[in-house]
Amino acid sequence: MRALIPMSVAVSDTIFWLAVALCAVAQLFILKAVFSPAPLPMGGPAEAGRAAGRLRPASRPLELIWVVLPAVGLVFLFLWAWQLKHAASDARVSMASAVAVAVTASPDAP
Amino acid sequence: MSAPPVVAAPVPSLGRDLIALTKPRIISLLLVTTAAPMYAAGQPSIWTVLLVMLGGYLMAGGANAVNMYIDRDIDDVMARTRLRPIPSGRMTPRQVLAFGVACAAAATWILAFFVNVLAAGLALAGFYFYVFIYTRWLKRSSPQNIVIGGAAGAFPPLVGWAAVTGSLDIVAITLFLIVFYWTPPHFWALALMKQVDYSRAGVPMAPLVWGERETMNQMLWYTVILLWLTVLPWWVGAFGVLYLASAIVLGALLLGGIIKMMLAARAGRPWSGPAWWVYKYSLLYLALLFLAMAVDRAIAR
Repeated sequence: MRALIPMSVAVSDTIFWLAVALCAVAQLFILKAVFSPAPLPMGGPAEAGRAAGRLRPASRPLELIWVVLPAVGLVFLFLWAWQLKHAASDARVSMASAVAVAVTASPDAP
Repeated sequence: MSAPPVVAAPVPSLGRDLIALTKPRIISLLLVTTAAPMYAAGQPSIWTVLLVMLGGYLMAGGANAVNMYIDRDIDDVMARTRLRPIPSGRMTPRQVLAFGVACAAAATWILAFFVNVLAAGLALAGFYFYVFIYTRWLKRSSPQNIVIGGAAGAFPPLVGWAAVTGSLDIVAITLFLIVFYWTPPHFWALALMKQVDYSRAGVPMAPLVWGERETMNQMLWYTVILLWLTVLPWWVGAFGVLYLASAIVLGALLLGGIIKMMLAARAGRPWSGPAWWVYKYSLLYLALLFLAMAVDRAIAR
């Protein structure tokens, strides 16, 4: 993994949490569709199909599972990304500290 | 003045029908989402790429053929599928099933023997997911059919990545989720325009269950998540500025197209033009996004 745009940890973290918040809102609206099926705005063949009872989802709990499952995948991915990014930052900080300690400990150091 | 040229209709032949069973137009995009991750993951030899392409084509083609076998009853009802080999009577269902299974078996062997077992296993998982979870179970029972079924189309990046690295990491999983979240806005744009067909066949596509307005809203929300997922590989440091710029520009155009369609629908203006644009552009979007990954990595090397 490479660092490509010089960016402070605070800015990077802010981008991450803003994006995660936006995804959470989007996921809530996705979930809403399961609970409140919208009426058809225009009549036509779709309405005929609904009237015949053919085009209704099989079961609401199952629909809920289908919506929640990808959301769980997203949470898992975001956690993984967060850990990876911060593990890399921590490793860089540790490396910098080790170099600083080595420099101060050397006999030529002021 | 010379007479206008007469365009002859293509003569049906077994070879042409076998190719048609594999749905080559759809597979071409799957191959882009397989090959580009290979170059993003490393520097594969041309032979590895060709073998993965061949295996990927046969696996996806086999899945499409088995899909046509299972859907033969509704293919006869829908205008856009009525000319397929089974409903038109040019091939028997059993022939199509045998062809599909043979393609999948050949693909598994090619990938396992010449590439690696993980790539073969992932490709086979995609085949089973498409045939059993999507076609057999969800397609006719849930408006979430193409959401969950979209996972089948998201396997190719995993196959490409695994073929080069022999493993999967966060970038590979992100690519999987990018295709997964791209699928609903793409297919619902088509479903909005093909409601008559889907209604006649009794397939509960989102516009028929939730209505047009809610389907458009859902397309927007899936695209919002998709945009962040496309930025995530840059955020973790896997890709550079070229990829980031491509992801933002391409994503903004997709989002803009969906908003334009929604605004037209809300104002009571015809929205099928913008919906058609979203459908066509989303194909280009995914191909260009994946190409940007490969180019970004090639430049960084």
